[in-house]
Amino acid sequence: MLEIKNLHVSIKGKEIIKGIDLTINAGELHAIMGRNGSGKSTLAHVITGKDGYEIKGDILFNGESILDKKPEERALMGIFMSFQYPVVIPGVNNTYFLKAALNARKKAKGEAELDAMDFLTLIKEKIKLVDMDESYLSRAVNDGFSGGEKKRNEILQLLTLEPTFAILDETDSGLDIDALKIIANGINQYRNKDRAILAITHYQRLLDYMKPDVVHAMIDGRIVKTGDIKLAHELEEKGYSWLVN
Amino acid sequence: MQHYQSELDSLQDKWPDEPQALLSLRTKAFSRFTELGFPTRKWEDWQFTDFSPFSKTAFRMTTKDDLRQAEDYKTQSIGDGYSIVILNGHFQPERSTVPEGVSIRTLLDVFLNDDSIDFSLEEENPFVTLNTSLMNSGIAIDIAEGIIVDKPIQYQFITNGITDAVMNHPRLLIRLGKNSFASIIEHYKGYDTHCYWNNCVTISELDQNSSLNHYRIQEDTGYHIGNMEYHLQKDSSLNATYFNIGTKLYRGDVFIHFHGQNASAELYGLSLLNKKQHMDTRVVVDHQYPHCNSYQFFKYILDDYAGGVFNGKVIVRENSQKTDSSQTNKNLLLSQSASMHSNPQLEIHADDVRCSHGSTTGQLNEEALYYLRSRGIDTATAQKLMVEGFASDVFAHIKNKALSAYLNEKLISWLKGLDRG
Repeated sequence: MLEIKNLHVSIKGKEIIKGIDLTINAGELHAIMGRNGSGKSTLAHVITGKDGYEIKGDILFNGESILDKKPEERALMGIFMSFQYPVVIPGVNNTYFLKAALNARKKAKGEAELDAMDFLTLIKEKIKLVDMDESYLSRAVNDGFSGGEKKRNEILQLLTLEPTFAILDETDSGLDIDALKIIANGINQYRNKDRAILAITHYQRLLDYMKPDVVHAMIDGRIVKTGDIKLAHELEEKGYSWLVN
Repeated sequence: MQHYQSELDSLQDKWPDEPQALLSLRTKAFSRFTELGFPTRKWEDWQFTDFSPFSKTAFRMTTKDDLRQAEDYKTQSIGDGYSIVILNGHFQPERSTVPEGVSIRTLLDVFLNDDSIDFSLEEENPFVTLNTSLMNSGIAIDIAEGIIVDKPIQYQFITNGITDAVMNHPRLLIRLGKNSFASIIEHYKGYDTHCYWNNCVTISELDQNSSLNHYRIQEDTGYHIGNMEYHLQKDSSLNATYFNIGTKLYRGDVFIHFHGQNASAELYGLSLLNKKQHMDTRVVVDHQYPHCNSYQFFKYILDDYAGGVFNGKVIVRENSQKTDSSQTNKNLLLSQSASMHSNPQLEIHADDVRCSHGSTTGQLNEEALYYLRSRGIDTATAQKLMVEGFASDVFAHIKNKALSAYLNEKLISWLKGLDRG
């Protein structure tokens, strides 16, 4: 589904990602673990299409290069990112925003758009899956939400928009154990054989609930080791220094 | 100035029946006006706006002939309500309706039959002095003591079918008796792109424990000057909203005078500007009594080469303990070439008060734009969502559904009309 080929990324001349190759197939869940500043979040934003990067190499999505595509085009192709720091958008109603996002997808696929009533029925079903109160639907996007509520709102979007590929950028950080279970449960609901996930994290905690197929260790812009869940446990136990040379 | 003098002289020929007292008032006000002159860049509270069109253009007073151009005009009220209609400067009593307990009179009638109006000749604002000297289409709305007006009174000031530089100097007097309530929509609607000018004065007097919702919707396409003065007696409350759109040049002065304890004033404003439009708002809230509250929330959205000015001042005088006051001005620039001058000021002479003020001017948040786009929403739609979101809280307090729908629709069609090539 996703193929990253010899990817190099710099910001203002400083190289952050120093040659990454990665293939993620449908049905797989890959985890990338690494310390702060290792380039994990940059990788997520480069796949999503944020401006401001100098990029070499290529990223293919279902065989097609996406580097020239705008973020909204990539989203309509099926790429989604759960933000590490979801953005507050004052005055923009959460339900209205999600409906606009879902209908943009429906339109792109040539499907009928949902009207306000149908959308409300749908979203009220979805919001139960992340155990959020319906009052969040009438609030502005992430405005006044706690850290945990923002993350649940990201997963609510994931479950509503149903992309084929989801990047979870530190979706687990800053969550207590109950919130983590809810988030993991939401993600497991989303998972199926036609979809793929790239989970970026510091910790194995979330991975214990999600059971990744492949785990990568990232240090200083490179993937230095790839393994299974045992690698996650090893990284949690021993840290990353043993991987450096 | 010479030109305005001859317009004043011609009023005497036009209205030969005007009483001598009124004529003498006009003449005195005009001499005050000539002392002051039009504001220049050297006037501190006026420095960011170019008022030269008023000295350069030979505006003439509207006449009965201008009324003919607009006679077929169909007035549209915003939702349900009572109406007072003024077409091209001429009051239309047959198109006007008011409920029991409310009286509508021309200012001439009030001037002749009771002496309750005080025209200040100490005025510092040249536009007010000019309004006093050339005043036409003056209206007084009196709401009797204890009257609760059930539906909004819609004052509609229409400029339509004009083909040259005309001017009007309307004055609206709103007086609420003790324990009364009214909702008044003061609506200026102009259709022509000619450089017509409406130089308006609105004075509102709120007696004890009365309450006024004042919505001033200003859609003149030419030049518009507004002077909005409020006098609040003990326990009275004012909730005022100013909406400005599509005007070549707008200057609005809002003055809040507290005349007793426990009164409150909430002021909201939204101005939408594009092209080379210029809008300038000055607000002065003068706290002279204890336990009064004031709240200001003004927003501007500017595109293209538009220029905006917000000049707000809260004065809390020595004996005004327990004053609670806040002042917020937030502005959104949609273009690199648009500009905004914001200057919120606080002058506090009492120690036991709570006052805050703040101002921000910025462009659309890039991170938020990226976030929306990452969900599949295209850039233009994402920008519109964010601009609508920015503006929406100015209207959030409006309970009149027809009115908030009207304003939202204005906002949305304004956004649609922005050139995003």
